Amino acid sequence: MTGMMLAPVAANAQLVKYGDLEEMFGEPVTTSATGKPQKVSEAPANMEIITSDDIRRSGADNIPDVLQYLTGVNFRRSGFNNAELSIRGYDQPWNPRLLVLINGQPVYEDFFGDVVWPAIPVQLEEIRQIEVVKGPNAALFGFNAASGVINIVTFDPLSDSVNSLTARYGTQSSRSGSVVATLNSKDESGLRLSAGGMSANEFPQRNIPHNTVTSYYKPEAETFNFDGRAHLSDTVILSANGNTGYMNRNLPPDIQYETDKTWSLRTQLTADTDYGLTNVDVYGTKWRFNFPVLQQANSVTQDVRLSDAFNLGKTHTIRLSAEYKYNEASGQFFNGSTDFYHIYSGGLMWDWAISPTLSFTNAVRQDFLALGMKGSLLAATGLHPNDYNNRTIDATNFNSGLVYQVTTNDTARLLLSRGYQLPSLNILGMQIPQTNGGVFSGDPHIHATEVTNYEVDFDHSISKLDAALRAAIFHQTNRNLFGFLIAVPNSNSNNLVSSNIGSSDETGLELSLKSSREKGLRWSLGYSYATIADNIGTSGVKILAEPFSVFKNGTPHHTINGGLGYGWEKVTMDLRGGWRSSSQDWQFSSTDFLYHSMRTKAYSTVDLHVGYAVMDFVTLGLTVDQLTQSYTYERRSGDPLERRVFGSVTFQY
Amino acid sequence: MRRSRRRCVVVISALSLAFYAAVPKVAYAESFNAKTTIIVAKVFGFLAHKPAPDSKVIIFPGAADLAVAKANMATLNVVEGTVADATTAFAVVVNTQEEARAVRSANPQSLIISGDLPCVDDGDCHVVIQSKPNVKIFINLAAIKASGIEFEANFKMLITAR
Repeated sequence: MTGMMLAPVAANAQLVKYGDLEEMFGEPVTTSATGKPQKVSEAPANMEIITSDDIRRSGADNIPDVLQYLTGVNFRRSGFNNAELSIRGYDQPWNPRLLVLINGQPVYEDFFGDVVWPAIPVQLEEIRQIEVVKGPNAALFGFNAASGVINIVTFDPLSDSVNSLTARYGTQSSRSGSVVATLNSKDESGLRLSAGGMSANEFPQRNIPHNTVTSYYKPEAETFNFDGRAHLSDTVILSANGNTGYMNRNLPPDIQYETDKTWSLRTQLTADTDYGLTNVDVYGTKWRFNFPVLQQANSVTQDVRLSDAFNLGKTHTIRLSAEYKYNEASGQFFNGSTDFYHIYSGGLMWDWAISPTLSFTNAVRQDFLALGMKGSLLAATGLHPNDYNNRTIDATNFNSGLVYQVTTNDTARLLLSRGYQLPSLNILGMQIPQTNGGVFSGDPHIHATEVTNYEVDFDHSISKLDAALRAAIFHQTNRNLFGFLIAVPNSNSNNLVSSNIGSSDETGLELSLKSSREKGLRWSLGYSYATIADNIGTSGVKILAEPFSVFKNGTPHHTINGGLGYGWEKVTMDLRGGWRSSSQDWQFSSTDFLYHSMRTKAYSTVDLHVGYAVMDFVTLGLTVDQLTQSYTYERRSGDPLERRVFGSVTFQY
Repeated sequence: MRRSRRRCVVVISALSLAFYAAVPKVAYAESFNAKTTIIVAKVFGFLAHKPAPDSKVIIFPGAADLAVAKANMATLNVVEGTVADATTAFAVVVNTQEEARAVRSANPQSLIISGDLPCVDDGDCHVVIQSKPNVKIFINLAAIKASGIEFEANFKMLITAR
């Protein structure tokens, strides 16, 4: 360190002023790549930013619909309230490979390994931008940022006054509403409150094989959130955030329904010190999960994160981080026992600006997990409590990126990253007795999946068209894949267990061209190609052919997305659509508790949104999902999706 | 599988060398138009110690859009002036390195901003803003320290130190 200077960064602590920085640099700013603020064009990651304008112009009433036409993002909907997003394929029900965050806090359902989109406590109107990172980003966020990360960044209650009231009504008797209110005083303190709710009738059943549902729950969701921030001094900011959510959804495709209730509290302290920008972040969440087929479970997560980012000399930025996380799960899922783990982590990020046009970023994070359980195990599992209490998992995650501004209009990135997908507590410890003497069982010996990504990206700015061309080629390896209730052990054929299942590799290409303007013509076009090779098989169990074990045909080889819009003085009109080649999907049967293969034909969808600003503070909207067809069996593994038409009115005050 | 990984590493290495070999772009000087003038105003918002109301900002003739500057720095006293006026200024926007050097001699504490990259490289300007094709902001760490100027930590991580 001799000769290097620790740059003094004192006075007036600030969280990232996204609005001012975006206005200044003419492009969004993100912290999702390295933990330090960066212009998106300079971030060492393949990243898409969806702005609040993009969200508004999409006309969507939920986040998965906003993101469904992004290049490299796979979308599947199997119910009105049940949608899954995955990044670069490996799409499956309860997709565990994608980490979703709100302002850096995971809203991932840790104990089940899933994202429950309707329960995410954020209203579309309070979102500043959605950052979609493609490829592992576990060196920053830890376990489960395996295929990618979606970070939802909300407006800052200190500096952004967002006040809106939105109501929607449409087909399927859908009705939803949201309210966002902000109180703040001259950058000293601010509080934003938001609440929202929806209900609808489920898409109707039709005669499709294996569908044995006898009753559906009404899809519903309600969330409430507060987000407060205050300057304790010129150099210290205190943030407090809390929320609660409730949702019903019918499951993919016919395991009846799931009801979740969630609570979360978070406190952050950010200080601009002589030693850098220091952050202490503490949160706790609680889930109550009710799932009639597999019964009920409770889960608690507690997390403490520390980080310090500072400049070292003129060309180096360092970020040190440490994290402790605790997750426990109990309830009927675990036959009355409590399963838990502690994770201890340490991380280092080093960003080196080699020259004004070349930067090299490296980040590494070491995770150490200690598993445990309290209670008893069913004899049929063949397991002993020591199998849990002596189990540890180590993981070394890294991200490395070379970003080179080849010319003023061209940027190239070379990326190498590795992340781990952690087996969730239900994969490690579930035990549900069956009437035949067998058991639905987890396995504490399951290894975390190692995902390694090799990638070359190229961005080209076309100023004449006000457009950006983006290209990416990647190769991804997946070792120690695991599946949920996927195998029958040779030792007890009455059992159905979770298990490691083998490996799988993917190679892909993504191309996109986008011109984004508020007024005048705007358009986008994207293409992605993906090919997957599975190597499935392991000793001691018979693996069932299910969506958790056969990936090669589950991801469409070709996907084309596009958008066309025009903005007049008071009217906006936007068409979004896509085509994807045929792929394999699955249907679960609650008769034999097995998944059955079904072929999804190639299909296309087109959505339309029209917005009309009646007055400065009142906007009317009309959205039509599936403009060209009244219903489709595609992009799902459940009931057909009907066309949706809904109108909206938004007051901004 | 291993063969494809090896092939991937070879391709990435080759492309890496090609990127290194490419020629970097050439820097240039620019006068501040309306858009860049707004960026100047935004830069003041990232100072660790905010200027007091009515602090004087001097804009050399032609260095920036005076009307836009006045509109976007409403709490400050923005006037057109030269070196003689800069002695009591909190910040000065100049056209050339020579002007910056003269201002620095007259008032070592004032924040000097221009669009001329050599000016910040030589330590005569504290901040240089370039807007084409992308916005880039350069600061001279030594000059800033010498003048007792500080920026917020988040801002410092987004700009280029010289």
